[in-house]
Amino acid sequence: MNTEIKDENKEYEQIIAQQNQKVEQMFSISFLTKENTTVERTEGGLMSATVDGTFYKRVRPVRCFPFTDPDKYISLREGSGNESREIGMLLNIGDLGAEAEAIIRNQLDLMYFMPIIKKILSIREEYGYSYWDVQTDRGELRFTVRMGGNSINKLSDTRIIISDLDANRFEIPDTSALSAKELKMLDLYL
Amino acid sequence: MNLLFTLPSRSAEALKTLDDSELCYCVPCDIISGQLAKAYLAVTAKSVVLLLDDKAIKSIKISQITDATTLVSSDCAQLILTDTDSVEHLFCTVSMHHASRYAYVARGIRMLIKGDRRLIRSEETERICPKCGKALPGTAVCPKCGDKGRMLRRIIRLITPYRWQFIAAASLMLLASLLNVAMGFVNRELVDNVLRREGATVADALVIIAVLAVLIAMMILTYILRNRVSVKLGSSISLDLRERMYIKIQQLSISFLNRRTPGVLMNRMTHDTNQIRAFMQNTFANMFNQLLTMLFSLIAMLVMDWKLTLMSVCLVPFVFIISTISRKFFGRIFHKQWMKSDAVHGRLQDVLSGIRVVKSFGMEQRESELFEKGNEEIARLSERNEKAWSTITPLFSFFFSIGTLIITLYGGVGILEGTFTAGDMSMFTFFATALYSQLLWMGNLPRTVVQMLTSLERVFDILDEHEELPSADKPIEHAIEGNVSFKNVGFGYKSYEPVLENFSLDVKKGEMIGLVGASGAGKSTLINLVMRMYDVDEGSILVDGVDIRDIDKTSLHRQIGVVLQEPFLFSGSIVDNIRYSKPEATLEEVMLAAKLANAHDFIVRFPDGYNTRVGENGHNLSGGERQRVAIARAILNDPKILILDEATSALDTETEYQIQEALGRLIKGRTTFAIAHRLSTLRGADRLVVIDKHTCAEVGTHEELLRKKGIYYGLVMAQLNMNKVNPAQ
Repeated sequence: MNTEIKDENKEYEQIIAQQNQKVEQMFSISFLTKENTTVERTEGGLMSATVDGTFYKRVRPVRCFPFTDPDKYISLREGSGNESREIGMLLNIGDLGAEAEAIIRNQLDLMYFMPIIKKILSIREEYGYSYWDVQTDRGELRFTVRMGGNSINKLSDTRIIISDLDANRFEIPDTSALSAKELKMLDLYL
Repeated sequence: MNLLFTLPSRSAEALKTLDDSELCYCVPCDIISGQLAKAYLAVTAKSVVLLLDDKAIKSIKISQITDATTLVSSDCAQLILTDTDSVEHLFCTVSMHHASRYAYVARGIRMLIKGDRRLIRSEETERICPKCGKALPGTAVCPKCGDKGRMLRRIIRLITPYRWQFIAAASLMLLASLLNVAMGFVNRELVDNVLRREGATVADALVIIAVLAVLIAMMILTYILRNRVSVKLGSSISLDLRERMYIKIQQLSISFLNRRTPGVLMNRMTHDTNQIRAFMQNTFANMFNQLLTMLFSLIAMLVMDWKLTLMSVCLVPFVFIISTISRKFFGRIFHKQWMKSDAVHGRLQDVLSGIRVVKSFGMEQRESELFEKGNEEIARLSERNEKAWSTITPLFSFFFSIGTLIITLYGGVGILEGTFTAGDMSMFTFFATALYSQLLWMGNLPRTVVQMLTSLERVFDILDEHEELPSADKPIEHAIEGNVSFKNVGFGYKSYEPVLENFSLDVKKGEMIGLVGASGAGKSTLINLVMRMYDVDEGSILVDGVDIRDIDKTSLHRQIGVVLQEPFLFSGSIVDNIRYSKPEATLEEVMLAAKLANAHDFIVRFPDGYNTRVGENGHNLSGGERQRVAIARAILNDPKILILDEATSALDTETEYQIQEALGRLIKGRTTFAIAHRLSTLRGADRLVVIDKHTCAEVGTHEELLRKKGIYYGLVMAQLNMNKVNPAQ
């Protein structure tokens, strides 16, 4: 009986210690450096990492400020969705060396796919939807945008992000670089 | 949602040479090495193949994979296949356009891995019509590409019950157009045979004027009748549709309703049926009238002088083009103004609802400035637009009058030369004006018709939906005793996301079961299945040995009492709300139920007692009071199965204690399923069931589970720790 209570206390203390550790982690950001971290490309085209001697089989880089600072504050995470957990943070994308940077960039490219609109060929409106025909850095494409609502996100006076019906996103980095004709087509959305 | 696209024939051949087994799924893959591409992902019974430019660029045997998942990130989705060495392979990437398709395909591949050859289908609707590329209005069938004949048959079926009103409206329209033509002729008579004839008397003039007066009176009468008939027609049809939709929505399963938000359904019930009514009432009534008037005017003009007709008609396309351009122009500038004012109003609404935040951070000045800036911009835009509008619209009258000018010129010369009479000219002008005045209206017609068709499609999207919870052929009226067994139950809200798998449990009559597990583990889902809000995908649920799918749905629901976390009370009196579960209950029964639920005393303390109005615009009940009314409602019917889904979690400790006491008395003799996050709430349970990883992980009494030191133990420890945050206090 006595030992049982002791056991219980021990386990109870363990649980508390775990929780306190979690709380501790809330007070600091752990930045990763060349010294304590290496990343590797896996056989299947994904990424693994070793941090402070611990090996993480599957690691995903996530941008904290994808629009304003895409190459800074990259969170390396294990697991996916709601259960993902931060292993550590990169202050700059190049902090782990050129080779690692290439691997991380490759992974980021796989997850962030926001074509940059180079040229607007036409925008046709019909009954509450507009149909766009554009040239992007990833090739030519057509997409459909719901009129009104939150389809256009204006990051600044000249930079906009357009979301289509399927939640794909497209960026126009500088509207002032567009031709007068293109601007006229875009006019309604600015 | 299509999961089996047709491969281009040469790609199909390439696939055949590689693998000739049955093609199970075939979906486009639109991103290859970071660039947009037109590739296909083909899944056969034996392998997964990626095809680009009619060549297989990647393939893997189903026998070499152990798992398949689709991972959705912010802008695209990745198909990840795990091989037998548990290496994860990034197989392909697609844009969001195909993301949900891939989620289904991954599930399909997982089934193939298990050797399950059944194909999965997706009930989700496409967002963009694969045929014409137009956005779909949330319906399964595109209003544009859908079978036109089917739509026409529907419209005919819709108006068949009202065919006499329809015929009446149509004949009245014909009459109105004919009267219009007659007026033209009488006009000519007036000019030629009275005003311009030597020796015409006042009496002659009076006769003609009398005829004109009668015609005008008849015209007005016809219009009144026509309007009355079309209003009747429009409201009857929309009433009919609304009733049918309301009945249908009540019958449809929760899973269908969950796919469409209450807002969408409300919109279809009110806005779309209204759109149909407005069309029947305004556009339909005018359409034939205007078209007939135009036609008759044109014929009359052609008969009189075809050369002059052609001359005045040749301007028609011109006027038409100008009016279309200007409509587009104005549509555009007013749309911009509307967007701007919408943005400013949105901001205003934001600030007003967050006024406490604004004040507490001292940001009033900044908000005022922002609002002022937006407001000024709207004022500037509106001024500019209104100016343009008031300048350009009068110019139209000028374009319209050009036609009349031509007639005057040509007719005037004709009169001087004696080939044309003044009456002819007057009549001609009359018809030409009639013709021109319809043109502007005609320009709007296609838009109105498309709007009506879209609304109709949305309405039929619901009316055509088949019931997903089929009633048994011979539903049984079963008097429930309370034994419930789950036999290898499997279920998921989306076919590719299982919530429960292989869940088995036997619950004896009168037993109280506490359901425990992390949020999203499937506790509420299990309860939804007992209530038969959904049907199980696999296995079965038996009540006293009878499959619940064989029990009459209404009879089942009437024997189950439910209390939810946030009980919903309808607008109405307390007694009406308690009686909702058993409308024929006597007042004594209602009071008894309220007493059992510990609600009687506080109800009687209200000035209006049981007649106190609650809900919208009614007396504001506190959370605990609402909960107790809901409990009274749940037990009034003496249910044999009682469901408590976080019934007391939103209450303060004292109220919870009282309600727990009441519930403790109520659950005697009833099979009870209770969900609670606060484990202390479940201390009265006979057995606790821990749901984890989609299935029943632990079953037993509190003590048994504690001794087991499993998941439940961890939960209890965590909660103990929470309660001991400040043991010193």
